[in-house]
Amino acid sequence: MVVIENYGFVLLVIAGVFGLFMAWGVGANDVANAMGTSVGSKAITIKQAIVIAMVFECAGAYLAGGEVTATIRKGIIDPGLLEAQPELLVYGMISSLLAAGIWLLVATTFGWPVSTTHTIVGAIVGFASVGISVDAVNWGKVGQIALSWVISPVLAGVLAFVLYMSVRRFIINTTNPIRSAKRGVPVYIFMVGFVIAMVSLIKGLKHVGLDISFEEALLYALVIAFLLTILGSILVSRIKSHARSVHEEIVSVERVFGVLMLFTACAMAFAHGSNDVANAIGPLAAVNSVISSGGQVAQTAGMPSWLLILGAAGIALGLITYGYKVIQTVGSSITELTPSSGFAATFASAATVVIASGASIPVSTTHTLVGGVLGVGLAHGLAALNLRMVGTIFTSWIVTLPAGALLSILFFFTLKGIFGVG
Amino acid sequence: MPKQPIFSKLFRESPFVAVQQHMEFASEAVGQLSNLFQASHAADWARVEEVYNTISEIESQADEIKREVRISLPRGLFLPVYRADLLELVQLQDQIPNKAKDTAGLILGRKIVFPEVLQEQIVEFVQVSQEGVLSVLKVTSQLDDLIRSGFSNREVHVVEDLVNEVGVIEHRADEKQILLRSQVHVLEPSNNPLDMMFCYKIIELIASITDVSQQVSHRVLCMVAR
Repeated sequence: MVVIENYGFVLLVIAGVFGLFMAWGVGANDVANAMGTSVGSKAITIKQAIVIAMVFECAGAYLAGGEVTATIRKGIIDPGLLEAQPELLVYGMISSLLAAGIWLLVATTFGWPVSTTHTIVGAIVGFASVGISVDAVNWGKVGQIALSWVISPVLAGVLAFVLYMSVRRFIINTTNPIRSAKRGVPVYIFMVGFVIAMVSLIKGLKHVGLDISFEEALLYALVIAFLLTILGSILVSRIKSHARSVHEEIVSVERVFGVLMLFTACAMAFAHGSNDVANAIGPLAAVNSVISSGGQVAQTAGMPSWLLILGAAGIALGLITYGYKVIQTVGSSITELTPSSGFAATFASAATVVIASGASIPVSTTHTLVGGVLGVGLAHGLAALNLRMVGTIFTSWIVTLPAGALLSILFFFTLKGIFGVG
Repeated sequence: MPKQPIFSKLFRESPFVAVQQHMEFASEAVGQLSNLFQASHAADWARVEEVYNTISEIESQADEIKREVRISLPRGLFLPVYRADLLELVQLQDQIPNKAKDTAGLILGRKIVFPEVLQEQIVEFVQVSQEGVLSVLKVTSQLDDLIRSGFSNREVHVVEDLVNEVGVIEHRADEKQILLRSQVHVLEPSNNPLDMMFCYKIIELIASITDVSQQVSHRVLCMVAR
């Protein structure tokens, strides 16, 4: 306990700085992938994408980010084993933050596709199993997370496939596609609004101070979704539709889907904020709870909201300083996506991620989006996809885990050497 | 800092745009044939050579696009149509500028001048084949819309109608060819046999442009109808 008493504040500041660094990294790089499909389908401009990302990433982090943060903080490691030496948990979490931050920096410099989620989970498992003991890792939970990394892209792919097929069946392949689109798009908007509202109401609002029952949440979610639908219908009805040829018809239908894409982009930013901010804030929350309680590891206190605000601020900072450029790059390179296919891919992954957030499972937003895009591709909705990328992603997955682990082990023993044990 | 974010690498440029571009060059090459015959009928060989060079230039540009399509379609690419179908389509399309160039080359090399009574008709025959190629251009221009609409039935119907249009033109070209051949036959006794042989040859080449056009349109239909 001596270490915590003597250096507690210093360690918290270090953890805070590294946490902010990682959140900055998420905002600078990861957000671009989340917004890429929306910008690429030309439904929203880059400026709109940045504003949406700023608002909804932060909202997602604050309103629905608590659950995944808790998993990163205390779900992967069994805190019972660290009762006697709480400083080890503090060192480990700081090491994980630094390891993940550095690895992401290296990976993005070389253009390797890595996931922040995979890096941080690898880092935590690494320091815990080598630095403390193999038993310190909650392998059941880790297995569950690893499984979700396979399931989430597949689920997003299936959802995207079904969504795109439904768009084709109920809107494009009808006698009057424009009218069908104007009727159908509000229904999709309802779905988008409902899923997002439901997850944040059930899982997110506890730490804000609102504790509502399932029935109440259902009711509120329905009301919110309904209001969004009305808003969407107004926007849709303002689109002029005159089509003299099948080509102009397609263009008009896509314009209607552009309205939908606006909502989907917000949902995606929200989902990303709800899941990925935890990668930066989870370890920081663990450090904070140990230090603020004077060395208690297995306490049950909730998470102070200033941590989520810090995470949200870090993301916003990353976006302002660097992320907007990356969004530009990604958006301009995805030219083959139309609003209807972009909607299917984006909403499928947003729904998957936000449900994972509700179930407190950290998944990779990027990988889920890749799954969604492939799902649309399978439904013949895209001109050309590079399937080799799937192999590359899979490899980066395998490499990222040990890389994060090795780095965090290195930093763990360094910190232990500097501050000592006791 | 990031070189190419993961998402940029997942998407590839649509090969259908290049297919359409290739077809545009093909139709441009065939479009030059009217000038070619006008020059040859006037026995203006400098002008014929000029037209030949233009066609040859267009043909090599088309070749370049064909090459690009081939290298931009490696295995491991995920397309809404069969990769082999697409490669075959470009291969087929590429015969159109090739045949235009062959025609021009033959006329220039052997200084072929059609008998005066046939001159007007051969120009009309060329115009029919140009119409055919322009119709095919309309077919391939639908490819992008087809992808965008996820091969909707309505869009496939549009392609079907255009393919029928090409079929009608091909039929007209056939009739024209029969007529022309019989007229050449009538002229055979009073003309140099070799000249006559080359008249047949040129008629055949122009007819084959329309044949290939029709094959291209059928290939597109097979590719998108399922």
